[in-house]
Amino acid sequence: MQKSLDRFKSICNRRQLVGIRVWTVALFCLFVSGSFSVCCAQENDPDGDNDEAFGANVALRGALPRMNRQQMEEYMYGSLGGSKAAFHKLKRESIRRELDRVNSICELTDEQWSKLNEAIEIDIQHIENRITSLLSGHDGKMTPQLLQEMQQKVWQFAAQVQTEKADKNAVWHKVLNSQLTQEQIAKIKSDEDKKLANQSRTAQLKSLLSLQRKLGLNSVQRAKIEEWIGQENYHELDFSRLCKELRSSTTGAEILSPEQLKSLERVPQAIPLPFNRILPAIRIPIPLR
Amino acid sequence: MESVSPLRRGWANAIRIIGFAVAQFVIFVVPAGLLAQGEALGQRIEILGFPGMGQAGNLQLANSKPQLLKQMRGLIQNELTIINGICNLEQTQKQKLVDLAEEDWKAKTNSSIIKRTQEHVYGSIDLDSLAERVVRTWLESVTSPVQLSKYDEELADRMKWRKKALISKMLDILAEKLTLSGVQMTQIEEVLSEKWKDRWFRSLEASFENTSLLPEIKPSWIAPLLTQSQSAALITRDQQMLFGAPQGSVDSPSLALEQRFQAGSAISAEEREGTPDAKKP
Repeated sequence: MQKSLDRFKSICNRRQLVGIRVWTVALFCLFVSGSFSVCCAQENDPDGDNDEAFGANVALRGALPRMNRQQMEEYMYGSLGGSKAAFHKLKRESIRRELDRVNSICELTDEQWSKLNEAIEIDIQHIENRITSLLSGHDGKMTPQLLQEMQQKVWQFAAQVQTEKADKNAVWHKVLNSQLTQEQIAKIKSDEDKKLANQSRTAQLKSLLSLQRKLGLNSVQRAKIEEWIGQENYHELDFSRLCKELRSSTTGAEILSPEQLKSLERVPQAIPLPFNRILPAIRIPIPLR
Repeated sequence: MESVSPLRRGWANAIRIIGFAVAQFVIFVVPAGLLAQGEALGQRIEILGFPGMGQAGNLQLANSKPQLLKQMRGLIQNELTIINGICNLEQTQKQKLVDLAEEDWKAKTNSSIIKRTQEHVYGSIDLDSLAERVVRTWLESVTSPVQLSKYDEELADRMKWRKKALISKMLDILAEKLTLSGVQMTQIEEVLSEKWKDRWFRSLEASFENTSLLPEIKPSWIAPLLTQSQSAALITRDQQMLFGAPQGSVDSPSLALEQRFQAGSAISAEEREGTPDAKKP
């Protein structure tokens, strides 16, 4: 009897042991599969966009007040200069700067100024009306998605407003064109060309300094290469193309030493990056000019 | 011998199995996770525009120290070549100069190179002028004042071009911000040339790729030349723009660590004992 009882106990213990082993293996499998799923998630989201969106949602969750129309308008103008009055002032000044430049070339009369002032007011009013229409679709309920949409719209609009300086459809621009003679328009065009010429000159000098760094030019070489760059607008090329052109040109063969020509053979290609791709998380408000 | 109860033996086995599982996790899963993170970082680097640098297991950041060391040596070699061309050095002077360069270059440039490896200082550490400064120091110790003056003339000529370039860039930015007329641009160029200080030129990158590193213009210098609306815009804080990326300079020369400095026919001796890398194989 005792013997059979002992045997039963040992079987029970063995079953217990088997149970513990089974549970341990099952837990281990769960652990491993969980860890792998985390790794896979990281691989599928290399940019971490989802993380950022998640973070943004967490930051916004529960902190969204119901914004009325006026608050939404303030929010919108906040991105365009701080307030409605500030936006009005900045926009007016940016157009005024354009007109000051024209005035310095053509000397506008008082009558022309008064007409232009009226046109400026119409243009600014037009922009303000567009802001009002942007907000017309919202009834005040604010969700994270809606706020993001609004932010997007404001950013697009701000960029649009900034480039409107060159918008030839602006009323002030049409009024100005109607007031000027062909001769005055030609003068203004010639003045704009000076600005473009300076930009071109800057690029030319930058190319020269880059070549100076790469090749270690002396003063004679610098003067000749500067002249060569300007002749064919080589400064418009990126640095690797510029080096290729210099290597194959007669100027390069004449003024550069064999070592310098050799060092032009292997120039890596630069990939220019816009600012928002370098620091995608930072968003800097676009100021009005 | 004391007998161990089966229950206790069972627990001991369970602990052993859990220990084994944890060990397996540490050996296999953690490295896999790190590799995945490395790949993600690698892809991020690829996205940021460093082609070929984002391979998993082969992560290299731009402006890595070995790359900068080669660039520094390349810049010094360029200076030595120019000196060889303009200073009429004797053979013994050349030999002294290249030996001195080989012995001293790392000690003189190491701290700046270490700073330059950090991306946030992009543009504020100028390796070009560093090379000019250190080479001038070596040249001073081996040449006569007459020979040195020729190199000084060369440096002054370079600064003349740098001045032209930086003022032209500043004018571009001001013309865009203030809507300057052609006449105003000419007047402001004159003012900037008059007020010029050599320290305004911080580096090629600072001049052309990062507007936050451009020299500050005092409003009082140019305000008399501006209209009221332009003056208002002048004091408005502008958006800081980074036009390029801290991806290393494509226009930098390069000289490998194994290659020796050279000035004409004079070639530097091997690095002497006591220099940081002399004991390395």
